[in-house]
Amino acid sequence: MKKLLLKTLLFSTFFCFIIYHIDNYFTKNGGLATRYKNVYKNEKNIEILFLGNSHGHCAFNTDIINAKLSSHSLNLCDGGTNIFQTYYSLLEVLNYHEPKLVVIEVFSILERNLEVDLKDNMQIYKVRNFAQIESKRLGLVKFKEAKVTNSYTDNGFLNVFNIYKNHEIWADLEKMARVIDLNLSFKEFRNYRKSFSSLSPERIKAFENYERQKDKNGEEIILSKEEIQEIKKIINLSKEKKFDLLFVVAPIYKGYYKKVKTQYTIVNKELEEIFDEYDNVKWLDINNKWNGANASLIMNEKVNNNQHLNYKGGMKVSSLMVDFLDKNYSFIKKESTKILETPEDLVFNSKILKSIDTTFHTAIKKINGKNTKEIKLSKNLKNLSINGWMVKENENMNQSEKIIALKKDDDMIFLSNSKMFKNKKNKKLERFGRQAGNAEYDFRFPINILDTGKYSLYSILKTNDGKFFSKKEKKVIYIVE
Amino acid sequence: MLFNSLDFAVFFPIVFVLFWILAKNIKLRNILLLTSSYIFYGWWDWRFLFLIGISSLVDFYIGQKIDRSDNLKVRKKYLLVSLFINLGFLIYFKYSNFFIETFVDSFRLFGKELEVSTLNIILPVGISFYTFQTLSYTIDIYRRNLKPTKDWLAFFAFVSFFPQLVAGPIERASHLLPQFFKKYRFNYRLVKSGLLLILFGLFKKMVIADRAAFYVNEVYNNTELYEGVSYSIATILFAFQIYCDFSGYSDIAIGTARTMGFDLMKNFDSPYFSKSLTEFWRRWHISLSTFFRDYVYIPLGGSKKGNYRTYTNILIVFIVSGLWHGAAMTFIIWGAIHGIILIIEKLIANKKTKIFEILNLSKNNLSNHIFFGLITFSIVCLAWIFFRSNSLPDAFIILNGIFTNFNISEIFLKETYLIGIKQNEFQILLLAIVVMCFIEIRHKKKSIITFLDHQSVIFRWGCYFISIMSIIIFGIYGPRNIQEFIYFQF
Repeated sequence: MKKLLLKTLLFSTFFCFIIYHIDNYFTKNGGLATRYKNVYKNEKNIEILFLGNSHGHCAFNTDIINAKLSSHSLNLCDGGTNIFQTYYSLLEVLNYHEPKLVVIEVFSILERNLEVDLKDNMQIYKVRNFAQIESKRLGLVKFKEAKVTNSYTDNGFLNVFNIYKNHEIWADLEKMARVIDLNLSFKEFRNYRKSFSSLSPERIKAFENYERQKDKNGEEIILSKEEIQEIKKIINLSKEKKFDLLFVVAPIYKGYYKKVKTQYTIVNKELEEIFDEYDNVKWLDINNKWNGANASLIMNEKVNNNQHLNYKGGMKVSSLMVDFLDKNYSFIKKESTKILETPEDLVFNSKILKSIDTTFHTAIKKINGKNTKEIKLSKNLKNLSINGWMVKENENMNQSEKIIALKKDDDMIFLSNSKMFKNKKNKKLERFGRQAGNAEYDFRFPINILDTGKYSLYSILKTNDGKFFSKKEKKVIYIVE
Repeated sequence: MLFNSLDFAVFFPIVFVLFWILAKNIKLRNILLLTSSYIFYGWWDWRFLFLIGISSLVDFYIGQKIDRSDNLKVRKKYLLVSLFINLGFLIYFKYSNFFIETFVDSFRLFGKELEVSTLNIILPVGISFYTFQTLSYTIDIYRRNLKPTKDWLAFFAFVSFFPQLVAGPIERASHLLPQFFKKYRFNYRLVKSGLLLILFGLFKKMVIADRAAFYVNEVYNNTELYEGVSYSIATILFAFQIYCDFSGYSDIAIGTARTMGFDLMKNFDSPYFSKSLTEFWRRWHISLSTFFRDYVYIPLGGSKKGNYRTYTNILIVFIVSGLWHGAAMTFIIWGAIHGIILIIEKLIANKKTKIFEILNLSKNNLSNHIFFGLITFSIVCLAWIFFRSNSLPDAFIILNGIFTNFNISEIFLKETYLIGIKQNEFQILLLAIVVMCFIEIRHKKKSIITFLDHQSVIFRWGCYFISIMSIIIFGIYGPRNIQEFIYFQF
């Protein structure tokens, strides 16, 4: 019996060790898991932590914030996350980091999911976002979160283990490969959502007739006692662990906001009253400050009570946040001195952007079919299209990432994504190196997200080893009505 | 409680540890086994515990009465009481609706519609198994093959012994009952082999049987949507599904009992490698076939009353066996097919031997194995069509599809294999079947336990780890997927 017990113990230890290390490969949301991996990697202390749901995910562009400030921030906001999960996400981060400031976006409190109650019959908090718990490492926080939320109540304790709950994921080999790749390579990840669409005229019109539905219990927008309790728990934690708290309301579409402003004001006032009692808690209602966001800052989504900021909206909120943080928190310095890690580091720091490398060659041949130094494009056009090339001498262009930046001013710089490029072979460019053939590109960028005005163009290349090269192009674009 | 459930994963280690703590005290140990067996069964529906209780009580009492009496008439009377009560329960719970429906259908044949509604009866899980087990006890005492026990606790624990309570193996009292009085010493090797058997059983059930079920259920539940090739694949997969499901259950049952020192009889012996149906029935559900041999076939006269009587007895046994499996015509036909083929095999046995002698063929060469193995497997599959079909018309649709609408080009179409199942799921299913066959063949030559014992600890642990992980990752489970064992319904 002793032999069996000893061997069972040893084997179980070995088994648990392996499970602990492979459990995160069995997640259905590779994106959030990768963001959590950044928490666990623990290379740099996370100084500013952003928490909340999809609204925070779209509003806080940490690449811009990190580029403009000499601090390191991480956005762990994710769709459907409620305030109860936020508490556990915070607990998890505190196990590995000592944040100086935690920013919490409160849309989940203002607009609770209309379809579900706050608690079920078992008095367990209902959650919709299982990615938050799946992305966490096996540990006490994960077990506690599972216990108080409905994450796994239907399916039993074993579902805390991703490998048990999501074991069927192996059958989706593409997804599995993507998650494994994300986990193994730990590629650079984007911890905010970047949508290039903006609200269509049809949907703007539809909002005029839209009426917010009451929730299942016939309730309007209210602050529940459970939520107040949870907020106070977070505040107490902040005092215990000595960090500041900033509660933020990210802007929603103004066409909707005007319909719920009275109710939002009541809840926000209640929240403000709670926060006023504490020295280390601040409140920033960007939504009220802007009186809602313009249609051009909102994604083109279904007409309902849940509108998200697009790339431009996120950029504006992030710039505002940078100024607010700079003014209100002494640990933050606005001048960034750090090395280049993201394209945002490059473009939002104009000194670096001006740097010249003589081995980086670029050309913009045509903009929307024309080869002129200046071109006027109507906002009504669908796309801005560019034909050109960029090449770094002796660099493998198949493994390099091309980026085009459209800069209006220091706060408004649009960066392209890889899907906007269609690479082309150009044998002539092989004079710059044997693997330079794929340097030519056709590029398309949606015009409707751009404000009217003058835009400078920058060609940027990120090589496989993470180095950036940039060049300001001579051609300029004017976006006109 | 299901073997492939979290409940059992918690229940079993507790019982296992308590058992070995109490191992030396027979009385306490039997109390533990009885209590845990009743918890195990009551987990499903505690109301039916009284059935097991009554069945146990009746046979415990009657067993003593039969033994005490020297009067054959009295002994027979007691035996009939036991048969009446036990079979009465079985017939009421399992066959009432079947008899009502058959009765109504018979009148319908003569153009008369009877308005009789069926009864709303729940079939108690495992009733066919424990009823046969208790019956064997009284019959053996009646035949003076067994002495009744005076220890009611041990007897009740024997009837309800949880590893084999709901789906066998159907144990004889002469084999299992004395084990409740034995003193056990912890045997590491035995426990290890029991655990490995449980693991193998879970692999068969969760990775193969429940995965094959997706394809099989889709085709058999929607016969109008598919054609010959799909029917054939579904039937072959069902052959593996039912084998892995049932033999998987038996492996878990035998393994669970073995970890506590109990020895349960072998129930399956790689039946699909049989070269004839006669051999198949020596290797398939051995505990049931030997039960029918001892308690139905031999009392009917067996093979000692001439050829015609032998053939009739075989047919009766297999029709009863079909009926035991389920109260439907499809099961009766399934049994009848097996009975008829067995009779044919008996009829041609001598001629077959002569042909072998004339052609100077060895019965044990590989080609012979493959040829007759394939024929046997085909016959078994053909009979499975009736066993699995939801109704008799469905079975004929499938048969008709296979024999008249078999478009051979469909075999080469990818879509044919992706019914109710993804491509990589199908590949895993095939791979798992190959792995299972390999393990079974290997185990027949040399025990896997012995083989593993001679390997390094890294290799051994690697094997255990891979086995557990393959069940965790490739197993079919979860709230939407949990599947009962097929034989629970019998």
